[in-house]
Amino acid sequence: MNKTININLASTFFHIDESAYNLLQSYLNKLEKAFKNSQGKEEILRDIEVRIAELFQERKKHPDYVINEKDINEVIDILGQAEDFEVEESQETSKGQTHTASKKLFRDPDDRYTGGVASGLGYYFGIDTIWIRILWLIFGFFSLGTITFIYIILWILIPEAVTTNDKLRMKGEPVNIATIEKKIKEEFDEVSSKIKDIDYQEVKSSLKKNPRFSSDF
Amino acid sequence: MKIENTTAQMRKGILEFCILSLISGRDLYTSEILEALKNRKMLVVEGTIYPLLTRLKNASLLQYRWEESTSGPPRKYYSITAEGEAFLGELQTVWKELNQAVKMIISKN
Repeated sequence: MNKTININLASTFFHIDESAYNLLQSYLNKLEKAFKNSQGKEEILRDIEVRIAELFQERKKHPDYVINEKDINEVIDILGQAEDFEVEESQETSKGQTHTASKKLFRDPDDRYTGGVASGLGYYFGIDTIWIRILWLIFGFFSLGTITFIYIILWILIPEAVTTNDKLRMKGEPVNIATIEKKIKEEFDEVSSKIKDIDYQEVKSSLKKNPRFSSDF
Repeated sequence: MKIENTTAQMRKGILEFCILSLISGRDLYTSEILEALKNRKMLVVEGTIYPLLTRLKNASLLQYRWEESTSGPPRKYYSITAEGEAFLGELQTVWKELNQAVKMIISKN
């Protein structure tokens, strides 16, 4: 048993079965996403609806004809998948979408001895972290503990760069799809190399524990 | 550099030229434009034409009117504006020059 729905497409009535209706609905949603950055999006979508109505009309052999899934798939083949339009539209819209975020002070969780304050300051002032660490040590030596207090205050006050967005802003890199992708890839590589290291070490230690196996190699 | 981007840009520019030429002959409604382009294999999927038509219309190169149809939904008839004719004239000149130049260059290699 299949439910039939009446729809009004570009002021034309059609009977359509439920599964075909769902398919059409999801296709229209995808189109809306594909054109979301295009100028005149509303008009484009309305024109496409008119065309779909025309194509339905060609398939409607008698007044009681019920549009089915096969009809919808044919229509989608003629009009094209939503992904086909995205390629063409994306080049224009991707330009000028980059908003260069101002640099912000963060603590860097990826490069730290204690709280990552030094590396965060390094990024912020554009100097190598090693100089800030040397300064910590020199001041730490002369100020007898005051610097530790300052460090703890900074540690509390400066937020940690948790998200990719934070890390890009910490380094003063523009936040856009390309840089985020690059950053995520970097992090992935880092994690995967860590995993490799761990495996290697575990294997080594287990070999040491079981000299019986190691002799087999 | 992606080949898709280059060919997409090329096709898009040429398509705009073809659409203007077609409508310059006589007023056409969307499905007639689609048919003419598909017969000549200028268009793979129909959907790509709608953003182009909307853009040409927004640039005041084309205008449209709705006409009732006895056999289906109302039809959007496009006609070319004076601005569109002038634009088409320029495109024709550029096309001839380009065509000549490309022919010369690729025949030498």
